[in-house]
Amino acid sequence: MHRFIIRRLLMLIPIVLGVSLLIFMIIDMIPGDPGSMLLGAGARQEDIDMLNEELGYNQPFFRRYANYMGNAIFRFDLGRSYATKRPVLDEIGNRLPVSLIVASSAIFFSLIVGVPIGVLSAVKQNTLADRIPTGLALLLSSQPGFLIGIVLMLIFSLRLNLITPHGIANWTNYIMPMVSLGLPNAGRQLRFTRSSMLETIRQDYVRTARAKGATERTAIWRHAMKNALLPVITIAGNNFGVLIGGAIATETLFGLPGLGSFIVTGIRSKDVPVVTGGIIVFAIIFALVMLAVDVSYAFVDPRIRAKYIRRKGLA
Amino acid sequence: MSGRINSAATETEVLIFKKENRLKEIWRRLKKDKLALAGLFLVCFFIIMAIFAELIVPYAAAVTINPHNRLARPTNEFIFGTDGFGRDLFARCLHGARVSLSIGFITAIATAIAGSIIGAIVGYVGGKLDDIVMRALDIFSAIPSILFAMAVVAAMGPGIFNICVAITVTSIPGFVRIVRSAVLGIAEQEYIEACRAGGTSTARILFRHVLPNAVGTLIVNTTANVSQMILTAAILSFLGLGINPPQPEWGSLVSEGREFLRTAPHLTLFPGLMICLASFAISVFGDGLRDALDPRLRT
Amino acid sequence: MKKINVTVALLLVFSMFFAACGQDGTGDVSSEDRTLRLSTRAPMTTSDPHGTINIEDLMVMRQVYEPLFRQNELTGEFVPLVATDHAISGDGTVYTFTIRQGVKFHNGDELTAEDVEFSLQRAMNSPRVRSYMAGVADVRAEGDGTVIVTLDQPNAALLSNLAFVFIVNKREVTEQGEEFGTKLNLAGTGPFRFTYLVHDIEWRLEAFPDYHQGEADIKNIHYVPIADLAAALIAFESGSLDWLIAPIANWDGLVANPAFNTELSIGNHISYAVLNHLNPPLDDINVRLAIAHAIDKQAMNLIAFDGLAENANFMVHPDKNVGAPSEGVTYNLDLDKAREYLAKSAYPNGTHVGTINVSAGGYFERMAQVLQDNLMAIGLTSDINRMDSASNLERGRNQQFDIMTTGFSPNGDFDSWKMYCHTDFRGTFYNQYEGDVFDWEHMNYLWAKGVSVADVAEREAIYRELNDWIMGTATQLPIFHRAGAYVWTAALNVPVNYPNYPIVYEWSWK
Repeated sequence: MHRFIIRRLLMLIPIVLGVSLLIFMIIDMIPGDPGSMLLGAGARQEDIDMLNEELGYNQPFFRRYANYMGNAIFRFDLGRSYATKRPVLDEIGNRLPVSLIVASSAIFFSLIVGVPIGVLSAVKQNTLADRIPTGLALLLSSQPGFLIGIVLMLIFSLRLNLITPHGIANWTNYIMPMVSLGLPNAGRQLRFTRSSMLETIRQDYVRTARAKGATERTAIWRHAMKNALLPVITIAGNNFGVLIGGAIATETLFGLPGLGSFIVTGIRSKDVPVVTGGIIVFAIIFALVMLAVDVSYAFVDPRIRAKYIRRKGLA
Repeated sequence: MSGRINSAATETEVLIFKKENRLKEIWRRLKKDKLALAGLFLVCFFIIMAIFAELIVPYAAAVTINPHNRLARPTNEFIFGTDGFGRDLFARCLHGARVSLSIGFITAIATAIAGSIIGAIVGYVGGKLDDIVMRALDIFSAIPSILFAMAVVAAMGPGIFNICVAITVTSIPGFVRIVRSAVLGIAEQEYIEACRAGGTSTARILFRHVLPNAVGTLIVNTTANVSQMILTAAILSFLGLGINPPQPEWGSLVSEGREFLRTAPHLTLFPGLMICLASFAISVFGDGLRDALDPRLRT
Repeated sequence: MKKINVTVALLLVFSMFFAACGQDGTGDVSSEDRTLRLSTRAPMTTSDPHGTINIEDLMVMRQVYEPLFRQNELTGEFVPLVATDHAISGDGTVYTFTIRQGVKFHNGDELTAEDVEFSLQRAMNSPRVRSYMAGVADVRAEGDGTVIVTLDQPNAALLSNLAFVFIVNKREVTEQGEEFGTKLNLAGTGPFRFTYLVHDIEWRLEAFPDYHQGEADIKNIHYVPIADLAAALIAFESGSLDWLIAPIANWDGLVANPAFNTELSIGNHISYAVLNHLNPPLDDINVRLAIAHAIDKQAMNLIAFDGLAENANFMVHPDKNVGAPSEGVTYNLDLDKAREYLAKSAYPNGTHVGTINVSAGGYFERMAQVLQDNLMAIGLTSDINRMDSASNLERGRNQQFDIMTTGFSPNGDFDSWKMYCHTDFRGTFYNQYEGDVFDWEHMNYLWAKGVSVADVAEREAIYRELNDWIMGTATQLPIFHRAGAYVWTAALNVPVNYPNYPIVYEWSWK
């Protein structure tokens, strides 16, 4: 198990290299140069050239990439933003906690709402206790988060004046982003739990457990639940990772200074250090989350644990 | 010679018969699930409406501007009212169905095909291949799909095709993970072990035994993806990178309507309802189909 | 039993949420020290006034830093700030500025002519703002009280340009070195100074007690970035912002609300259509003239601004810019004329004119859609290509467009339009006048002549000829001057709203 984790951590190096090269290339393909984007319409070519030189953008692609990655790996320096001149790592340091809180609260919310109702509706398949929550979940999960966000704002900020609709000054600021991101996710989580649960309930070992005389409750909670959780963890882990960098519309709407909107600003102004640095940090976190997911598999499912151990024995 | 042809023909017939039987069986079971049937009916209804949109209301009505009849409430003439340009919102929702459903279905199906093939193989074979492929996919999944789509659209220019490509590429890794984890569970089961011991080829095990058992997961995810993709397109519209105007698309209609949420809520309500109904229909049909396909349900 | 427990727990958690929120409600503080809460559309990128040209950054900068003179955006008058007076030599190439005495920087240093010299020279070397210093050959401090700016050639627009060049404290900038702009500094002379600066999250300013015009009435300002207009309006209406440039869609409701003050004013800005005369069929002057007469300015105004903008006949607003002519060639909706021109062109039965490029997210995309509809009325078809503003800009520069709907803000002098026309500026690439289609050398000559004379009436005459020359090409078609919809809380006293940069120093609590 330890060796497995260490191996996966070492795997981070090629992932970071691959991600950074890929993103460096895509950003380079975006037409234009940072100088002309920063100076806007009506700028003179000489000023644009001067700025590009100042930013080091006039060098060839591979030299820029090598310089950047050299600094990133050996000095732990992700460069400075073209637009703000601030170290990218500092800016990410400000923003990452916001993104982590938003993503984890949204996933927490979606799990709390989605999983119990999903299990319940699987156990009570085709009864009203199944149909009503499932129907509700479907309706909620089919609206874009930004629309839910605006409606929440209209109700809780404008009508009831309970929560300030923007910023991060207070922990209450995180409630509406949590719900507007978590609600669509909860709907998906619910459906997924339900389907995974249905599949497991009919597995042979659950039937065996039942036949052996385990009560219905033990059969479901002890035997079925554990196995049904496997894909549920995958989805939750994946969504968590995605939300850290991908909650852009919600971040924009609620004025949350998160990682996603940081990278978007970078893409729009061809700010290479911002985009590359942001994505590298995101990639590392995403990989760690996925590793945690894979490790948690082993805890939930003894058969998979056995596979890792067997592999270790072979190696 | 003729004998051989005959025997081949019989074999095919048997196969077709089997397939027909299986389809009939599935259909028989699906028919019992009233909600799934309603979903299927609604999906078909949406698709037919999308296909024959031009016959119901010509596209011109969806794009003709009338600055003197802006933000009108629903009337007999304009049953959904008019938008900020004075355009017929019903026509826009109807023609928007074409784009939205195409984006949803095309990207979800492309993702499902690529994702389940890769996921099944790496999940079943495991070992080095699993490691290499999963780490390669990690590179792609390490870029949030919206950001990737933004970068791709910025680099390649806007347009339905580029948006679809960007969304598909980034949603494949997630799908592979799901299929892989389902396959991991199935591959360890006794009957697969038995097949393997009996000398059945890997491909046969994969496509005859492993994948059909994971089909429930596949269908649930694909149907969830259809509405997910429609929503991703909506978020791209919110960020200003969706379909080019004045082409209507449900997500961009919702996004455009948000400014008028208080003065003219119908602008958001109707396209929002469309997204709701369509994904509801797709989802319940998907769930029903999953149940109907599940061989263990026969008992 | 378990189920019930879970439900109870959940209910408890939720009720705790809302109990906590209730305490958090924005209380009404009516004391004099009340903090003014403002928002910007984008996070502030830097605290270095020579490091940005973003309008959002400058909205904050203008409270903290001061130029030699500020130009009143509504009247075009110059208001002395760091300088008290200026003198221009007979040939118009030497400007002598008298520096105000007794001005203190936020860090306590006294302002000297050396600081002014340093600031202007620093601006000349900063690629981001050096265009404002165009034509300046030398800046020299003379004694404690004067700074002499020498030009290569006369430039009547110099003062308007210098109104964008801020004076900073030499010592503080030198001390912070490379870091200047990335963190808090006290290098300004303005009525407010930074007290707290977290990039992308918030910036706090407090009134500077030693401000040379006396301490401001507003004691504290708190800026937060809110990108989405609908969200910003909700923030304002729920009481967490005190002043806002509101979205037009909800204007009537805001005007009717007695808890708010409102003002609608026309900005010094032009929303216009660009036609690329290099691409067929737009290379045909008759097609361009047909389009010029097919554009329904009023329809665009209605759809983009509820009819509250001002339909434009000139690219540069005659009342808001020095030297801007109020007469000359104009185009207005006349479909018969449009069809006449089209009949004279090589495409009497209509054709496909190509792609209308537009930046996403603003009202420009609405203009593009109306324009497409307008063109259809005379048998011209087109596509719309919507993209983010950076890509749009780049495509514009590289001539990868046929038509664009876009806009720009003149800086108070007709000369600032030059950046979009004169062939020396890369900004011309929207319209590449250089070549054998137009007598562009004559246009360049007129631009140079316009800034070489000081007399305003004389300049206006030259600019009238220039305006007619450019309008005659039918490549830049003015549509409307956009409206600014200002709304602020009843407790706040805002004597006047300027189109681009609010001057909080003039505001007070009631």
